[in-house]
Amino acid sequence: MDDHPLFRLGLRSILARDEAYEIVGEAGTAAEAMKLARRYFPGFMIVDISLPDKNGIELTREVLRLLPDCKILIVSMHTKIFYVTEALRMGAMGYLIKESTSETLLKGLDAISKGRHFLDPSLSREVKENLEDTSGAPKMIDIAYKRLTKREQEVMRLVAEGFTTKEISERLFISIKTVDNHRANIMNKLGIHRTVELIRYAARIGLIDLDT
Amino acid sequence: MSNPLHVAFMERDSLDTHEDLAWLIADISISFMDMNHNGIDAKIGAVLGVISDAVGVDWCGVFQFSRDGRHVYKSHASDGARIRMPSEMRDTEAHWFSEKLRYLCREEIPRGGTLSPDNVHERRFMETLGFASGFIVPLKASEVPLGFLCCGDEQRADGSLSEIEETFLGIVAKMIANVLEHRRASDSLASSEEKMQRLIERLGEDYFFYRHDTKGIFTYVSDSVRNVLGYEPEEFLGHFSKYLTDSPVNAKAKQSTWLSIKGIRQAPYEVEVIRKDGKIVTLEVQEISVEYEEGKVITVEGIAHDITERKKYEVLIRRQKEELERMVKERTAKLNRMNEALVLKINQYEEAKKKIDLLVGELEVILDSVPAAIFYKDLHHRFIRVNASFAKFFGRPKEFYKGKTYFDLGFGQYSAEEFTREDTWIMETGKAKRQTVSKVVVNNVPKWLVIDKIPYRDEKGDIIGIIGFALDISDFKNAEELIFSLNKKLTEAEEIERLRISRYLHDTVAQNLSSALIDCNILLDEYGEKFPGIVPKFSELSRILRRSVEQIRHLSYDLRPPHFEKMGISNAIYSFCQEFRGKYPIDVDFLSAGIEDIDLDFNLQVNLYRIVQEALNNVQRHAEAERVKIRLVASHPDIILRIEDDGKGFQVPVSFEEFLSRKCMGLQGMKERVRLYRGDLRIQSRPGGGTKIFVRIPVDSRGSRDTR
Repeated sequence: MDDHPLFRLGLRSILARDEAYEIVGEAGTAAEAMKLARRYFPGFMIVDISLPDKNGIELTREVLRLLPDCKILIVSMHTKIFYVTEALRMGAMGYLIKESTSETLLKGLDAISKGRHFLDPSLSREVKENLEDTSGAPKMIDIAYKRLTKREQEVMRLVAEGFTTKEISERLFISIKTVDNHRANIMNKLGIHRTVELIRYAARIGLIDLDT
Repeated sequence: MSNPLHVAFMERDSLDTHEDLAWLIADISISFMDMNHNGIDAKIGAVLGVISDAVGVDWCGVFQFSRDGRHVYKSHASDGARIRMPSEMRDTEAHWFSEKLRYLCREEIPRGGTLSPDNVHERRFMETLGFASGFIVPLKASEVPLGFLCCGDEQRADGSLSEIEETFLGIVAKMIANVLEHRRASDSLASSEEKMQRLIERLGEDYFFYRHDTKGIFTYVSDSVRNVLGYEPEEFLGHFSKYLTDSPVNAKAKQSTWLSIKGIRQAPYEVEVIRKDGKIVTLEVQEISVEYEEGKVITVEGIAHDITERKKYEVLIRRQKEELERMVKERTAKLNRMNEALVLKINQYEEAKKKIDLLVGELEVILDSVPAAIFYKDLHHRFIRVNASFAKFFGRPKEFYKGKTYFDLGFGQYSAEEFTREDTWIMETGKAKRQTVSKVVVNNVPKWLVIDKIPYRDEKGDIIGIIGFALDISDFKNAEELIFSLNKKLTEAEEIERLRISRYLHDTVAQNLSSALIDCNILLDEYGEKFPGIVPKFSELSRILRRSVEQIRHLSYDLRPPHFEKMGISNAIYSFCQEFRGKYPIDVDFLSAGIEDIDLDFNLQVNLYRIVQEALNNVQRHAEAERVKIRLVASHPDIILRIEDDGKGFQVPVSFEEFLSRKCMGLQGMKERVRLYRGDLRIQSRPGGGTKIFVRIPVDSRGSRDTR
């Protein structure tokens, strides 16, 4: 699947060299691709991400819903990790970048035909590392902090900046008791027990700059 | 008590005159009046004897009526009288007799009415008594018949007794009156004495009672004089002036005494008296003239008591009183002075008040002519006064707002509540709230105000409300808004253009080059063996094409990260950081907190991304850093971005011109981006000390989907 006829022509030439693969059809849009898929039940599909009507990652998901055994290889201009991970998450078996197609296309098809995942060797090290990291949620987002309400965020910054409870109550036009309640809730949500820890936490996530 | 007349009479040997005779008769009459016969029968007998002798008649007798005048009570006759007394008469005779007497008494015996033939009754009466001639003298006191005196002679039937009778009649009446008068005087004296006696008994020993006669000689003094003056009562029976000092006080006392003697009642007066021991004491005396008849004083009675001690106290009291009066006077004077001062003060105050009124008037003019809306509020959030600008701004006359609150100004409930809360805080803390920029909707028109609010204090410094100044900056704000929106549109247009170019490069140019690359490689494969000469050229072409695709892709990605919208800001930055780490030997540590829950404006996200991009590019180009820390955190009402490196740092430009001249356009661009969102950006760096970039961007409450 590629909306560039010239590029498809290139792919044809490469595939023509290996007798293991027969081209049953080619399409310029996702809709056409689905039509062909329903007609020919292909064993392999080579899909570009940038398509006029739909992106290749979505197409991958739809095709796999129809043909769960179809092996899909993404061939895209994109090198961003986001696309790679999304494609693989949706069930694509391999991911190639276009400029390396002539060298790696057949290698990739061989790998996925044997049921192995294949990634373009020129994809950056980080993309691979990230893919190999199976812990799921990216570590760059602080999970606990997002549980704070807006008011609690305000109070936390003021506490971290060294304001007293009284000063905070004056600044926010709320009672001292309310400030104390907020403090307790913040500590509770962040799983900490002392103001020192709260300040350390604030410094770690960048609310305050400890070094200045 | 013995009758002095009797005494006088008894002392005389004979009665020479008719007058003496008359006195005797009067005396008898008095005795009758007294109804006191004890021991006087003999005396009367003697008197009657004298009378009969003197008159020269055989017989003389008196008949006394009982008190009611009806009966003859008793009769007396001169010695040796032979007449029949009524008690000796027969009943009928006695009855007639007494009737006759009564008649005679009633009918008034005519003057010179001897027992003449023409007075049948009288003659008959005398005849009854057995006399040929005689006369009857009625005894009366104040018209009350007491009885009769009769004189009768057995032989003399001529009128020789007439002369005597006439004399008798004339004198007797007068004498009786005199005697009675004297008698009354004695009586009142006696009763006065008695009263006084009683009084004395009750008086304390500080008092003594006295009586002096009309000459001023004491005739009586009570025993207590001993206590008061040291004299024995007998020693005190001289003329009053003998005991007085020659103090001038006594001149008046003497006069008073003389006036008392004349029967003119005197108020109590003081008199200075020498005690027996020589000491001088002051007595207060009260005198009462004893009169037996109006204006006829027989004696003066008085009561005296020692008031020396009292006088001393009086002096003391008078001095105290004088002192008190002096003090009152002084005090009054002082009060007067104070009063004068007060009046002066009041005048000054009045004058000051006039000035103040004038100033207030001027102030009013000033307040009304300034463009700021000015308002005074009380503790209950009610407007006390507002100026003309205020009224103009809110659209009603000035007077309308008196007593109104924020809730009457035509802006929303929320704003009114917010402002009221602020005011409460100001009044509670006494702190001012300065330069608050607030957007309010007044009568459906959005307005921008810069508000200053300060506590309104009275002269003692107590807070009594709020004074507020609000400047309508809507025009500035609108212009600013316009600039902002234009700037935003500009950057947005730039972004759109970038996106377009990025896509074009990525999706068309790079694609085409990729296709060419494939073809080039196929050609190389197919014809390389046949025409070895082309291999180096084609290989070179293939390398160039491949590098071009990569470069175009990077260019495209730099222009705009693909699918930014889907990734979100954190992922986009993270992705960029990962690539950056891959490309350069710099460790990038990125952490975001709370950002994903805020519905950030997409253009803001792009701008944040651009800031990070610019900052990392700077680090890579200039900093020689090993580590970069990036933090993106939501901290209501702002989001905070920190980019810190451990590089060599630099001297931060301080002015726009310096940014320009030092070609720090990247930093300036970052500042511009932050400004678009009313945020601020701070760069902290010094040579050798790394660089810290701090970005704070306020997040409009509408821009957040977090409504907790």
